[in-house]
Amino acid sequence: MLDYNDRATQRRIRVEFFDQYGSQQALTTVAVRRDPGDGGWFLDVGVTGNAPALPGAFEGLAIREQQVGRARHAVLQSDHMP
Amino acid sequence: MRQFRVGPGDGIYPAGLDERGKTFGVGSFGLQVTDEEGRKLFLTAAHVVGSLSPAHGNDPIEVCLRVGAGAAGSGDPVIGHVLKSSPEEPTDQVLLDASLVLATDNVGLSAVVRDTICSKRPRDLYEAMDFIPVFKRGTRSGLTSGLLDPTPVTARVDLGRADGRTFRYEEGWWVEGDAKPFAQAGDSGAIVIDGDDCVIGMVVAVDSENMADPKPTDRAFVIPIAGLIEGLEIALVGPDRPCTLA
Repeated sequence: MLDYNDRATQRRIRVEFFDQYGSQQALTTVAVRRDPGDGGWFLDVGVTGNAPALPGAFEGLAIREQQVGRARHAVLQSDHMP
Repeated sequence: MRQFRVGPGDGIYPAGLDERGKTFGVGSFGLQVTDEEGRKLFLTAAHVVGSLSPAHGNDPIEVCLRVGAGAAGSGDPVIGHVLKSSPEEPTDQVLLDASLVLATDNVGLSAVVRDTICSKRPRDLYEAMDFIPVFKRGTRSGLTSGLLDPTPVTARVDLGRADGRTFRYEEGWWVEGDAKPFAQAGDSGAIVIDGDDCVIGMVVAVDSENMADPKPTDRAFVIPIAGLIEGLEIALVGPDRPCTLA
């Protein structure tokens, strides 16, 4: 039984999931979270646009998809100066 | 020689011109730090001035201070050069996104984000469960406050590459601003602190549909300071004040 509360385990799961499915550009973020209601662990997967092809579960964690934006660098380009 | 005082809220960028003949994009000064040799250094994001920036390949990469509110220009002073970046070379899989800049002798550095010098003790959120009130001072949006979700996230980050290539950031947190965006374009490199003025992390990205028209709900992506300190072998500068907030 994996200890999902362990940050090293969380990191490994996130990174392995991203490495397996990250070639699909719609996959944007991955986090191991605990449901505040029932306390169950799940894989919180952020997607942008069309849903990527993902499994129903990964490393024993159910996958919950949600639509999110995409993180962009926060550098101010010279042609966008105020 | 003219003296400069530089600190959180100041804009910095690499000297020279990019491949389009324009000045490089502007990010934020992070924080004064030092190394085992006691050198006068400051921290910012590697995609602002270092290995993940368009200036990578320049040797050395000189760093300019953006003076005034207008576009970066040739009159801006050089305040240091990039000493070290992590990653050392561009890579699609980013563990750290940080550069150390060695300040020139005529530059004084600051570690004040709000109105108090930051503690030399970083805050590690390893066991944090609840959302954490945080602050940052960036060159674009100034001093802002927000709530940090301590659940670590692996995220795809768009660094604006012409070929559309994106980067996998192994670990960071989301911060949502109080009533206005926590960070905007220009704030990359800004240091994030908690209510004790203990350093938590550094802004590297923003989740925004339109960077030119930011919304209060736009989230900032922040990478942990603990990893930067260990990876770059640096220490924070400031009073040895405890981080009391659980």
